[in-house]
Amino acid sequence: MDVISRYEGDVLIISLSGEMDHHNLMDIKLKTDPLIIEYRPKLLLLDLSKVPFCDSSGIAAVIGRYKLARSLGAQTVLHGLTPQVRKVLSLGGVLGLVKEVVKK
Amino acid sequence: MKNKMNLSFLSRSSNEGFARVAVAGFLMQLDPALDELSEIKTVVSEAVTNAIVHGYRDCIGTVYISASWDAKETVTITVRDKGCGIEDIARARRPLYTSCTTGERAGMGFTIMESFSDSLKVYSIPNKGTKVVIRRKLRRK
Repeated sequence: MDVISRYEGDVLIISLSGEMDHHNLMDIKLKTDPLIIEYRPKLLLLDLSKVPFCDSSGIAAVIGRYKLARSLGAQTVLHGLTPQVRKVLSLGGVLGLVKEVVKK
Repeated sequence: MKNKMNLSFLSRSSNEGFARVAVAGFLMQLDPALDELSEIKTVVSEAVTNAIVHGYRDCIGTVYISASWDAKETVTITVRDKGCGIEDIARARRPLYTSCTTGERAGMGFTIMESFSDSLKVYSIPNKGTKVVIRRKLRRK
């Protein structure tokens, strides 16, 4: 899983590139949590436009980052969901907790 | 026309992607719709992950997959392990339930498998293993 981040005006944008499955889950956690803790943004934007696939581990990946950000006082939003990823995250109730935004 | 394939591999997480792509590649002969293929890949991913994470939680074992279709293009996928088995299948299938206390698991694997298939059967014997049988009728394009 490739992770690229950008911090601008209290917003931390984390772009993931790869499949959000069990195999990549720990890698996602290890690469993103230190960024959230270091920057302590007001808004965390997870850009998933380069995530072509996710299963229930993807639900865990998003919920885990959402919980960490919330514990540090940050809101989380999602961007760039592919139809498959949106379907799985929606089924997992994620989109009731974390909003999807169209613009970055 | 009927067809069938069998596949087995070690329960390493790096094989999760391989398993779903292998099944999807086999099913491409039926020319499925993209969203159907995505859902079937998701189901395979969940079942294989369960075998790796739960079935073989303390060891490396072999995961067995068979995929087939009948004359009416109903696809049957079986994912089997010889791992620790499930003591309470009804509880394991409950949304948000997970037996994993150490990692980040959503407990949504069976819910997703049920949503993306027409039927899902789970057979398990503690200390012998688990077999998950998923059926899905492909719609005509």
